[in-house]
Amino acid sequence: MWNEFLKRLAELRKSGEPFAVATVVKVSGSTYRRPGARVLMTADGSATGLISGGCFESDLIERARKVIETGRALTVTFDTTSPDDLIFGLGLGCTGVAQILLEPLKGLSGQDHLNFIHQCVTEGRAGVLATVFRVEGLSDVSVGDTVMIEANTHESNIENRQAVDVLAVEGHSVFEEGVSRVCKIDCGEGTLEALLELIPLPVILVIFGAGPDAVPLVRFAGGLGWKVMVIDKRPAYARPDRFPEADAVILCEPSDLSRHLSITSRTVVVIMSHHFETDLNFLKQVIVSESQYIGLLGPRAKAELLLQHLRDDGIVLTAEQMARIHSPVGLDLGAETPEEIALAVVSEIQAVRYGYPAGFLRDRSGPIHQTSFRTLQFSHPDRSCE
Amino acid sequence: MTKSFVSAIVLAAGKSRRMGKLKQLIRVREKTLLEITLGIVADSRCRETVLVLGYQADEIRRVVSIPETTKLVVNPSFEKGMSTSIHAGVQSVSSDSDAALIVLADQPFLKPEIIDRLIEEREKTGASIVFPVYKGFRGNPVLIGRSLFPEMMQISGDIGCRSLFGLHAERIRKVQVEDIGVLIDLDTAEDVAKATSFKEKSLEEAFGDIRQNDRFVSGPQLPERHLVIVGSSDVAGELIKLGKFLKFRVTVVDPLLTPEDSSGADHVINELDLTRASVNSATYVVIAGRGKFDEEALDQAVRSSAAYIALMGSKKRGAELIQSLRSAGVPEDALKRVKCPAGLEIGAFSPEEIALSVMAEVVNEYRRVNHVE
Repeated sequence: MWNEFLKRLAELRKSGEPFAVATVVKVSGSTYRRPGARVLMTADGSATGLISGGCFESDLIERARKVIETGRALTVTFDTTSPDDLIFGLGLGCTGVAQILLEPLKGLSGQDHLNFIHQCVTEGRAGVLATVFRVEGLSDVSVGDTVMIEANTHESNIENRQAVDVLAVEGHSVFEEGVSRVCKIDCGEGTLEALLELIPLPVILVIFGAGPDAVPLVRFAGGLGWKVMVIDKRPAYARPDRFPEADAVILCEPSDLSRHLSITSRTVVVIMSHHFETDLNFLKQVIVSESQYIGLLGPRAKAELLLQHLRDDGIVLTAEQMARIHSPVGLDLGAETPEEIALAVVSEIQAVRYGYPAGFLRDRSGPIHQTSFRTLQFSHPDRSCE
Repeated sequence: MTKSFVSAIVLAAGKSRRMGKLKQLIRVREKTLLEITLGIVADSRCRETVLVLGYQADEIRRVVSIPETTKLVVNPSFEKGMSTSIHAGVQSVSSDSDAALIVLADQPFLKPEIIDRLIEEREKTGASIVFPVYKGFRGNPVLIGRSLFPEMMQISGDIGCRSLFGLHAERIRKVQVEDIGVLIDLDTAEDVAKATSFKEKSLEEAFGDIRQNDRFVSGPQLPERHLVIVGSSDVAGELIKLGKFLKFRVTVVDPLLTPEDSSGADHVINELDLTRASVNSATYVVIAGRGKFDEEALDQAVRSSAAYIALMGSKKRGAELIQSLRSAGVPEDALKRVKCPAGLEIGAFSPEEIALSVMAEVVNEYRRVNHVE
């Protein structure tokens, strides 16, 4: 999701045209997007991004114009809980309240919070952005003020030191919890509310095996905004033109893997070279990495055989390592065609990564969205919502 | 029944939160939406007009010239929902009144002749509920006979007057109209912009060229699987793309969608009639129109032989719609087929992820039946 946003942001900065960014900061009820969803808007009405599924985008543009004009950030509340819209079946499906922060921005500014997001995303660093969206009784904190928090440091444009300190502490707890959330802070004579947003980094999918069945997998994953890398040792297959949505297509032998990329806790892996020895060699490299999801294409028996070979080589997997292996890869959809299999694989990765059971939604009790809006199951705090 | 006494209840009490400003006072070609609505009603056969105001009633009265003959009611409880405004309106209609026409204040393209046709239909048939239908899509306003006034006073909840429809299915008459004005309500500022720019063009041209879009071709052979998406939304758009990619034949049913906007769907049908989409046991229906037309679409879908029926929306809304269909006599085993909420629980939030979750369920259902040994 960040690619398009950051690309447009860079364009707008370069053009020097004034623009506004709208950020969903707090929601209740059934709203379309979760906190952290953003839209960039210019005075001429062009908008990049989506925060409501169309419910109030056009109205936002009008408000954005005002914000650009006045140069002052403000928080607006959209309430679609009114049953007015629902009479005679003309209503929207979602009923909820969304608070949206509108901030004016212009040209190449210095070290602001959007640059912070840009750096976190492009450099693959985890960060927490605390954005104040409501202030009461405090003269030295304004709506739109931020604290940019990294593992060991933080930086802020807020004068009120007490507020900065509390937000930094809260921000660090967000690192540990791995969940974005809203916090309310009493600060002496006043209060403020801020969104503590874990900067979402995209899933990185590494596919070992550039066969024809990797093509739909790359397409599905690319469509979800994931970063995708395809690796194969066969020059005829490892060709970038076969995978237009891939971020990289790498020609390499399994044993050379570490020279080309490092596999982190954020990387999910699917091994599908259709060649036993190659699969085995990739698996040897990956099983000692931090990757939390290793999908093995093929029947269970093949996975058993791969593990047997690992044991023969003296590599005995711990229960924790075994839990990271998903074989046969993909949700049990009964998938047959390459596209269906790709769908099953991408759906499984999505579910595993965010700790959902992948059952039928209608069997779930309670609301579709959880109160803490996305729980990260993996050990490192590198992604929250969206 | 001869010339009946019909009271128009114009509902303008709401706080149009999605617009961010007073919807009633938005101007379309010099006049405010509310003035336009009052004018339409005055030109119809309605004998009296009851105007229900609520939010910022004083401001509206200051700006809008309200004819002296209009009965003005201020609903102090407007925030509790439109049902309270209906109650206030019904209480104020004349004791001579035979029926009430519930008019929303955001339908500037409604024509007085359409209202008259609803009135005539009621006089002719004695139906208790009469509403216009454009190509299968239910429109507004709705005419309700006096016999249902006591029940209108009991209305509550999110689906408003629609709760009556299910209970009195046999007393409903639908008037087929060729005028899309019955469907167009100005929900968003974008709609208003379209309405304002609209001059010489027909409504259909301003809001999407309907007749020429209808490029449904009844092909000779049925493909093995067919995805039918009702309505347009960002999720619907993603569903079209995924459906095509998974080699489904994809049909979109929406009153205003143009083929250019249909993300590569095979067919666009601008009529809510699932029989035109040749729904059969190889058809997977997803109702994804953000609440618009969902009840009618669901009603048709559960009566069809579709292999899969998904309703995009919250559990609560789904339950309300299902209850409404149940009251209308749809059998329980037909209702059980509705998947709501739809999709697999994979942690889907963005439109792309939601579409993925639904298509995973669709493929799962397809392969449950068409599994390969």
